Amino acid sequence: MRMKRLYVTFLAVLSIILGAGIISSAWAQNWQALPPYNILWPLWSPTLSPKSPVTGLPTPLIPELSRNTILPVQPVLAMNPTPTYTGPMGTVFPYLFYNTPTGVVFYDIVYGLNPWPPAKLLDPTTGAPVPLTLPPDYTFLSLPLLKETNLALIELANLTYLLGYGFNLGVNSSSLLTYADIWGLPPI
Amino acid sequence: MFKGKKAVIFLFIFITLISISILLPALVQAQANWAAMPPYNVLWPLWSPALSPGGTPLVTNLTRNTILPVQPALAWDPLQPAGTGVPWALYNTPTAFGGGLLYFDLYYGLNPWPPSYMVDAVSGAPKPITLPLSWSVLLPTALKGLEYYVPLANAVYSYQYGVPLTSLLTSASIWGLPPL
Repeated sequence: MRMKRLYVTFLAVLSIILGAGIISSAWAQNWQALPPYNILWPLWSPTLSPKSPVTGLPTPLIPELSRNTILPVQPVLAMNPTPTYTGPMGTVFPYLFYNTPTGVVFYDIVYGLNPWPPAKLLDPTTGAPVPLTLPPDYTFLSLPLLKETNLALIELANLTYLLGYGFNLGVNSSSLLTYADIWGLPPI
Repeated sequence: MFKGKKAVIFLFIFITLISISILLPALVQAQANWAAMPPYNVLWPLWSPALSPGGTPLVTNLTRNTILPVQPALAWDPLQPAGTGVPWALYNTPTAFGGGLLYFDLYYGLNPWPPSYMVDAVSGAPKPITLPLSWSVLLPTALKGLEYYVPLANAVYSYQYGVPLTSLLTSASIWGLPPL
C-alpha cells in the first residue's frame, strides 16, 4: 500500500516536471530556419511573424529569403547563429534586410550593407546555396538581447539604407519599421 | 669535470643568445601598434591592415591639406581632452566644399582638422601632442564595444557631404576582419 502511494507520487511529480518542460519548450520556439540559406527568422516578432488565422501560430511573412525575395515590410530581421563577428560577451548582432532594385541587401553592424547572401553561403562553382549549419537547438535560441548596444542597431541600419539606397528610391523614412514595431512594444 | 661544466655554461649562453635573437625582433614588431604622425604627433594605427598595409602608414603626415587615399582613417590622441579614448575618424572634405581634412568626434561631430588645442593660438604653428613614454606599445583599439562608431561617423559624413556610403571603409575593413 505504501509502495503504491510512493509510486503514484513519483508519477505525479514526473508528469509535472515533463509537462512544465514541454510547455516551456513550446513557448521558447523563437526562430524558424528559412530556405534556402537557413537564416533564422524571428517567430517572436508579431510584425514579422503574425499569428496564422488558421493555426493560431506565429508564421513568417515570407516562405523564403533569397536574393530575389521581395520583402513586404522592411527592414526584416534575421539571425545567423554562427556569425563571423561577435560583440562584447558573445553578443550576436542580427542582420537587417532591405529591398533594392537589384535584390535584397542585408545590413551587418561591422560589414555594412551588402547584397544577400554573402559569398560564404554560395557554392563557388555552381552558385547553389550552401545553407548555414544550425545548432540542434536553434529554434530555442534566445532573442537578440534588449541591451543598449542593440537599441541603436535598427536606427543605424535604417539610416544607412536610406543614405545608400532609400533616398534615391523615394523611400520614406517613416515607412521603415522601428525597434518598437519589430519587438511589438506597446504604443508610446 | 671542469671541461663538462664549461660546456654546459657555453651551451646555456648559446641557447640564451639564440632565443633572444629569435624572440626580440618578434616582440619589438608585435608591440609597435601606433606610429606618431607629424606635425601633431597624433597616433596612426599600424594594427589596421587597411590603413597601414604591410605595417606602413598610408600617409606620411596629417595636416589640414593631407589627402587621404581611403576614408575614414583613424587617428588617436591618447590624452585627448574630451577623454573618450576613441580614435577620431578622418575624412576628406569634397573639393566642391573647399577641400581639407575633417575629423569626427563623438562629442563634437565633424570639424576641420586639427583640433584647436594642437595649434598655437598666436602663431598658428603646430603644437604636437606630448605622448606618454610607451605610446607605440599602447594597445590597439578594440572593435568590441565600438561597433557603432564607424557606421555612425560614416552616416554623418555621407549625409553632410553627399559622399556615397559604398566608397567608405567599414569597421570590418579597418579592423581587418575575415569575409562575412
